[in-house]
Amino acid sequence: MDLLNDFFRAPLYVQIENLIEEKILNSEYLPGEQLPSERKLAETYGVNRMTVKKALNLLVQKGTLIRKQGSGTFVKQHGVNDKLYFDLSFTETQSSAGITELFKTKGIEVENRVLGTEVIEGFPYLAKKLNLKTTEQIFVLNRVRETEKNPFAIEHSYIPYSIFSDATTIDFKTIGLYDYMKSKKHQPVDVLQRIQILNASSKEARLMKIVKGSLLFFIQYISLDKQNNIVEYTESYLNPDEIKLKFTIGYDSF
Amino acid sequence: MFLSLIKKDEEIAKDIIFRLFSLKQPFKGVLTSERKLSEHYRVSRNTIRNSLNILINLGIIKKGSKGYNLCATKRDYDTFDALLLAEEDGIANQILQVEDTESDKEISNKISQPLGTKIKIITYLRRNKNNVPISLDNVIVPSDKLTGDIWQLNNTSAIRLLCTQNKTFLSREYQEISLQKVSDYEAKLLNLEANSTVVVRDSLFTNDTTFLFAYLHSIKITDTCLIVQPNKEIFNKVGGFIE
Repeated sequence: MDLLNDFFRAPLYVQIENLIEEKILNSEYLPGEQLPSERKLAETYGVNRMTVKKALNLLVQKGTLIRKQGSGTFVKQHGVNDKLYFDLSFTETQSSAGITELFKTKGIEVENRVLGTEVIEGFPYLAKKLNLKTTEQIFVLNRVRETEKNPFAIEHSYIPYSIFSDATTIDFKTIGLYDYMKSKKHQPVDVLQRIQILNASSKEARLMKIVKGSLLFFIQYISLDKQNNIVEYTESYLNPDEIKLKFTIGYDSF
Repeated sequence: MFLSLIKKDEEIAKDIIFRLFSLKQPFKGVLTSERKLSEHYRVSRNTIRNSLNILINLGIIKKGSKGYNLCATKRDYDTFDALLLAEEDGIANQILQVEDTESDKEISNKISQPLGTKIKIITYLRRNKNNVPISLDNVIVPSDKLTGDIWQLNNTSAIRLLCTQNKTFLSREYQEISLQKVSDYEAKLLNLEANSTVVVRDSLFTNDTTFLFAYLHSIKITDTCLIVQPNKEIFNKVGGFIE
């Protein structure tokens, strides 16, 4: 049991606030963990329930805690705010989670609108990105990703047709690209990515329902599978209003 | 008629990038003229103009008084520093503030260290060789890890200096990127209009032995900003062509 001390001669609610904050810093309360009820806290600290409420309110205002309607007060998860986080790290888990999977863990359904697919060859730029000869075939998949009819990403994916030769028969409206790649045992396990900021062209503006010239994240991914093949080159346009990006980079291999 | 998903102007833009960065054929003179490019690719001037606009948007070329000029190649200077790759082309830092202090709650939270950790907070403005500001950086480091002449930071980054002084390499970086509006103070330093949008990179750099190495809060100009998650193996596989 924690005893309040009046060393700082601060008001009781500030002392409670400090005690809770300290527990969070010391990892006694972990990110995402639910705090005991106000009644329980009041009992623990031997104070009035209103004092606890006031302390918790301050911590909610500060963003240390979050209140979920009907279920209680929780320690805010590190770095989580109102924007969706795109954690695109491959280094930590060595497994690939597509965007759909990432959103699913947050309880958000992603709709894939397929703009088109085709098989091409004779594009030196794309062949080089996939470490192919210019004469080798490439499968192209263009998609718009949306949540509840809000487009948040346009993705142009290029995968080697020699490895994914039945890609033309797949309905990418219902099947995620990474799930499909996984079924072929060639899912990405490592990635090189470049992020830049672009102005939306009229095409991107139309697809994402935003004003032409709005700033977008432009991300290029080149991915490697377990067998050390380059299995994907993707150009992705993301609406920064909807998204914050988060990465873990491992420098060990350098 | 078969309509490809890749439009002609996009295809040409990609081809020009391929020639510039992979074949290293700088299109001597050709890039300066829409007419010569449209002859080369056998398309209309209008299509070429669209292709060139894609390149302008990517920050690869810019319109000059006599046609189009190549821009300085975008680089991720922070990652260059973290990897201790060759010192970058004339990046100079203008140190604005160095503060010796102890971490408060907010900073302790950021750097995952106990309250009261002795730290240095260094703020500097980074400029490229043309003396144009590229970022306003705020670096938090443990005081005992960065000693000696702080003015070395005029020519090298705090991350790089930390690694070289401590003879160590980084193992991990936890990075967050978002777009935000600048404050008036930041806008003034970065030569931006009030309320401009900037890229904010927050990075916690760690190494295996001490865990905390440095925390970087970098406010970057969107036009010149590039952030790379590097991968040596993939880089080699594509022959260094990542543009």
